[in-house]
Amino acid sequence: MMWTRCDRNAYAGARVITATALTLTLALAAVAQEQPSSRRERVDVLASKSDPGADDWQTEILHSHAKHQLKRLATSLSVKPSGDEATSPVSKYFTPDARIARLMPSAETVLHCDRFRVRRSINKLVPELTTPDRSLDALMDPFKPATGLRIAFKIVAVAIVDQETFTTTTLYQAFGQTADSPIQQNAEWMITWKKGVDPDHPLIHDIRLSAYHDIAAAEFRFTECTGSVITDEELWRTQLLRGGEHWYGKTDAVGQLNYLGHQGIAVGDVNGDGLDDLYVGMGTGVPNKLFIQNPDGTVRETAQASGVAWLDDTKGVLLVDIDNDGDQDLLIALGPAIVHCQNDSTGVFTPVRALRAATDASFYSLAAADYDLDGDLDIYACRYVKTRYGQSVPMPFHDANNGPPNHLLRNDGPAGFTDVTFDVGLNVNNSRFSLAAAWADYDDDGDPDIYVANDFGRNNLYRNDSGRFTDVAAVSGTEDQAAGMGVAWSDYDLDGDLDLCVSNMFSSAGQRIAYQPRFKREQSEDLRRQIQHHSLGNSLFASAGDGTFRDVGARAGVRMGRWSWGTKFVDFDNDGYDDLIVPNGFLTNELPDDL
Amino acid sequence: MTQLMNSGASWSGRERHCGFVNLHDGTFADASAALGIDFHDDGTAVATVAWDHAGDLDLWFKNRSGPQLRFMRNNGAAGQHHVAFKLEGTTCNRDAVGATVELHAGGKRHRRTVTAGDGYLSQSSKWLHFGLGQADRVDRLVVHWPASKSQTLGAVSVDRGYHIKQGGARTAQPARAVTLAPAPTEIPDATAVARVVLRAPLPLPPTITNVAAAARGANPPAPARAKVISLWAQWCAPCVTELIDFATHHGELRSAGLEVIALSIDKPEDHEKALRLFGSKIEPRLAEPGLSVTVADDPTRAAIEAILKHVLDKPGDISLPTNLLIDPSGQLQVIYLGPVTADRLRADAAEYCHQRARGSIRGSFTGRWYYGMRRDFKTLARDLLDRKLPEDARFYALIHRQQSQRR
Repeated sequence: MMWTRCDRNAYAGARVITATALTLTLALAAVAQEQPSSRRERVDVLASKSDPGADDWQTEILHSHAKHQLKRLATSLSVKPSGDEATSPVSKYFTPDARIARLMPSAETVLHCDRFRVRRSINKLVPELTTPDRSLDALMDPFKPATGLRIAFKIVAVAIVDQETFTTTTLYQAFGQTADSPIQQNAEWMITWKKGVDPDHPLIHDIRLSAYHDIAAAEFRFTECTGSVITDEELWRTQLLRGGEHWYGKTDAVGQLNYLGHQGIAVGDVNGDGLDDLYVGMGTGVPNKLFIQNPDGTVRETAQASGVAWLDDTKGVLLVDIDNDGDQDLLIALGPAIVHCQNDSTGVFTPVRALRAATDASFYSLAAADYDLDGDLDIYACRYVKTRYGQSVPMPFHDANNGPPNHLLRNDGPAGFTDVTFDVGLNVNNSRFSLAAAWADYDDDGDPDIYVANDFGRNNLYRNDSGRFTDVAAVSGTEDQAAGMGVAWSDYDLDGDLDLCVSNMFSSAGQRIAYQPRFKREQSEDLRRQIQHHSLGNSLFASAGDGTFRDVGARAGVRMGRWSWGTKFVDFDNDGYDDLIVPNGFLTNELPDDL
Repeated sequence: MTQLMNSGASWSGRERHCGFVNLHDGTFADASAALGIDFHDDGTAVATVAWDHAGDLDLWFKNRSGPQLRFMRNNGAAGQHHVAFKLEGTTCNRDAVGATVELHAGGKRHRRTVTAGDGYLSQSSKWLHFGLGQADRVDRLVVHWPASKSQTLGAVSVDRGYHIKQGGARTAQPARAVTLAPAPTEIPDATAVARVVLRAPLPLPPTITNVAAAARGANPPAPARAKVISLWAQWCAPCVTELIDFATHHGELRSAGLEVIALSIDKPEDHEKALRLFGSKIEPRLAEPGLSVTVADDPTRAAIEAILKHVLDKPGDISLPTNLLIDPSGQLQVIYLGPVTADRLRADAAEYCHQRARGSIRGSFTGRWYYGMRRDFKTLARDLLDRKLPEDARFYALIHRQQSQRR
């Protein structure tokens, strides 16, 4: 242990004592073998295990060199040229005879909705070549009056062509703004690199454009107004402004690793005044929040007075009328118990029962529906890891079947809830690592079906036939074997049937490695594909209308949702077509990712 | 994970939220930055709601990182129409979860179903919000109630919200004007400062309780007094500033029944220096005893580290100054990481160190616990044994045994 001064950066001490941990790849590999939370790196780990003779992946070395060069190129592009330089600042990243595609292609407007315009490259991208200077200058042209230019690259595939040459599939994204008007470009570039005289600094020889979008808008669609809604400065500063990393080590026996977050939120009209309110789960030791909305859009926090200032680590929360008395009751997942708090119609709650699981795995997402159509709401409750986070290891990691059971709790009125998981057939394929579930009558037969997103493997689509469930994930094409974290239904294409979005981890590292020919070459093609799917990102299942689905995620362009947690369909722009939002990010700390 | 957290490293950190705009042809464009939602928070849940009734869907984000909440106001799309419905069941469940509104407008058929929980750990508003694009009227409106007859409703005007009761009429939502000004959150620098009120008082082992006896300038033994052990080092300027503050107010601390022991955790070779510094900077300000000083030997340091690790559940560094508020019976009540004022110590002594008040609030914030508190004294005892403190280990092993017997 080390003692540091309080006024130094809070992390400074940690940096000193665990300098060894900074050899991150090694440290993470060790962690990944032990812990279920290690999604992104597990593909890498598997890769290294699959070929114990190899001490490194040649393509990963090429990747790191190319990434470094692109980072420097991005910096050069972000700096406004002074105009009097003899050589262009970007030419040093290209071979002298490099000819690249026009990176700003001919583009057509594909969406123009109230001063928000999206353009896309016209279908046939003519490989019309030009000099890097000219091409990049044209690409950067829209940003010339802009400020805050931000350019980022992501390499999702590396292929070796010959001793001298390799290619990378590279995602490009640039953003800037003039006054309040944002400009954004996204593209996919196929870059050919030459190792040249200095293999650590390969040079770009050729770029082909495989996809391009740009967005220009008169203003941002969304503006943050948090401080105008939550006006209690003291509450905000002391309890909400800082996140898990702050509270870690600052409460008595956290025990639940609650700094990892995963606390839920629920919107509902708690006091019956016609305005939606917000209930917020918080980590251990910090009370949950009940924000009652005032007529002017601000909130007042009443959790303590309303009897719902729970201090235990809180996962899923739901505001639903359990007893059909016209007010919103609260269901709250506290560890392996769901506490049912009854609303007295004014927004004051009394805990009436706790629905306690037989084993100690915590509940995660909750989803309510009337599965048996008897006029009251039943609860499906997901469970993820068997004991404390990090203590149960999913086996095998890409198709884990050793998780805790989920439960369907039937509402029996004043008698409470009955666990009917077995009786209705939901015990089938019920030992996954489930994070989220969503009800929807996808087959339009009048009763709600349920999709369950599971981490480390296959998902479930339980079709409800008059109260009996059958897992039809495989036959419907929605098994989606990956790191499932969230699920939402919508008829996003307005063809009349319900489609499905499943948020999965996107890992460029995983993709780079899992698609190498040598990756798990001793294994079957089938297993390779299963593992490859793990890093692909979000799935979008378009319904064929006959109970089957096709994953159109790649074609639809929604794969890259990063470390996708809870995806939601939401019509941002009132055009009737649902858009998608994906909150993400896992663990931001003082030091950057090294991977 | 703990190892990772302690290393200060990130893992898929600083990833920006993504937003994909539907291009009406089955494809989407990543517009995360242009939408204004691409914060690099560690975000888990997002809920949608027309919070300000401005005719568009706003967003509440719940993050792991700070700020833990963000409200994103939708700035609206001029010229686009919408209509919204809140359903109430009579024969079906009252929230009408599972009811679907089917709506025909502008030659398109839209459907939305009332849900309770989707995405991840999230529940959005039960209002069904329909964007209508340029369509300024609804041609057909049908509500499919669960296990019940569908209900066709007459023409509705757009750009309004309606309450629909199963089998009954619709009533328009009252108009409302809300102005919410932009208020971006500024993320503060990290801080190590915190006041940690223990959920349950923790008896302290002999190595720590004996510290006071050895202190220079202490009062004669006064078992009925509460104590503050103030951990400091001669190289730590904020510690010296804090001790000067304690010295300045030590009369008030004394009358509040508090005795302060400045415990230098300097390396043995710096002990002399620490005592000299205390003698020159602190002691001259003392009119009477009550603020004493001593130095921590290795066992004392080790015992304190074990206790802090046990309570805070975090291995790794401890920032200075750190103060321990100990009640007259020798139980740890509050840990202060970083500086604390004399006023705060007095207030907390009154709250936690007097028999009549003890236990009114347990934990740093007011609220209710579902699960009771059970300390793992066995692990603590083992840790102390590993640190070669057999006396202290025995102290907790005994408590552990009593605890097990009680169960």
